[in-house]
Amino acid sequence: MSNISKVSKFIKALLLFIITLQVSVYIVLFLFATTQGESGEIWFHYLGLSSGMLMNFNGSWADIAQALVKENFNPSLILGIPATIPYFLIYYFLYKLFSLYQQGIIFTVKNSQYIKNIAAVLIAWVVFKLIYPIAVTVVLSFSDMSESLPLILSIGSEELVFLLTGLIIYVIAWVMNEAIVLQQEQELII
Amino acid sequence: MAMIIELDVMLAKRKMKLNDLAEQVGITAQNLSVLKSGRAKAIRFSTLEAICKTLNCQPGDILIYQSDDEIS
Repeated sequence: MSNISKVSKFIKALLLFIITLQVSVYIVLFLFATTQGESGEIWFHYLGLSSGMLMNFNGSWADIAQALVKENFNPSLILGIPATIPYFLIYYFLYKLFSLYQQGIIFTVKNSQYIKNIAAVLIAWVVFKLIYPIAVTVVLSFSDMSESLPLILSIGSEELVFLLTGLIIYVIAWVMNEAIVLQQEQELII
Repeated sequence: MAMIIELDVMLAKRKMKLNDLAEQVGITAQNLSVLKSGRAKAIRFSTLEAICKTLNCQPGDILIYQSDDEIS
């Protein structure tokens, strides 16, 4: 148990580090990004530093990013912000889950709920990833801001990996529920 | 349930308090209370042995089987 606590503490620290890093990268990106590349990646030039691909999209998002750049829209704003939401949701649930593990609380309904939430975010993200580029095109076309944006729908390996991971995590949450029942029974063995 | 725990009867016979028994058996008073109230799902042989040793009795003095028909 003490090992779980120790590792959980380390993972929480790691999560905080990743969140800080990601937030600061986004802040720098939105404030100082100067050039947007052909395939939607953003080049960052600041104080003589030059680095690219800080935020790159793939699949249908790369296509829509490319189309948005051609139409003089900012893909980092339109695509970048929604792309970060699932990450932060997952970080939040992971942080909560490992906080419980750190306290030695492992088989409770809360634990299983957090695991289920992570799975739900992953599965919802796949659906969102498919629908969002179409929604962007439809909204921009109907608001007369663009006429030539294409409707893009594509399913790539990334979506399938997310879907599979989400489903596997969902099943693990079910298994955890069984463990909770066992734990509750164990508590009634004197 | 058809199994009846008569721990309180045995405790009264031995003029012993629940807390004292818990201390001597080495389990918490809370767990012993779960056992006494009949909410327990099972009892470990080690616990049963310790209770019998402390109360100087047989398992049959604490655990009584009563069929569901008799209860109703």
